[in-house]
Amino acid sequence: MGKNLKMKAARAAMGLTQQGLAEAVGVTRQTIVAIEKGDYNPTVKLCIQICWALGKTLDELFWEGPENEMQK
Amino acid sequence: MKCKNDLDERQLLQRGNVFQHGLVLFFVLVAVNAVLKDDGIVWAEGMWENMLIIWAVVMLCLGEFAVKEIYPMGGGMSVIYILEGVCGAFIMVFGIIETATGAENFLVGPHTLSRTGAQIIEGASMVLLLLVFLGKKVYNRRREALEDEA
Repeated sequence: MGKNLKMKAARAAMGLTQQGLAEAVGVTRQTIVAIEKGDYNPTVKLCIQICWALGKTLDELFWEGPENEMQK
Repeated sequence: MKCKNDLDERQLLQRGNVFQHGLVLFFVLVAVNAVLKDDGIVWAEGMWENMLIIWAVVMLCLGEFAVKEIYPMGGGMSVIYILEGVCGAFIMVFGIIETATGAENFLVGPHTLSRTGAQIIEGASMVLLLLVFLGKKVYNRRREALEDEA
């Protein structure tokens, strides 16, 4: 799994730190770090919560496709 | 998203992996100990063979918890790490003093640990565990700022 730069960019655009986002979705900061680095594949439930917190859709943050592929 | 014991989904997954590693290590150590016993090799005095096997498994699990920052008891885990580290330091120091003064030997046979020898090893491992815990805390604080900037 590659790095999730879209999530990192969305978080930065919202002015949230990793700790801030972690508190908003109820996980540890390390979990946010792991998701952004691509070391951990979150459940759909957590993905949805992250999307709510960042004001994005699942497609915008997590969809991997030929036209919208995550950074490897 | 967090469960009752304050672990999130990634930590719960990792906690399962840690217990798995502990169980595998336990089976391996028990099997090795059984083979050694069958060959008449006693590597520690009395109950200390079994104690050290159990302690090795506990060490592995607590060590992995510290490195991966999984604290099933929340903030209470810090107290446990510090207490066991301090107790370990006392056990180790008293053991070293006993062997240094000649009151006890480190070994009771050519390859058999004495009770004191086993206690020194156990104490040293407890201190090591505390150092790992503290080291991870320091490392994490340094990384925290860098990761947020990256």
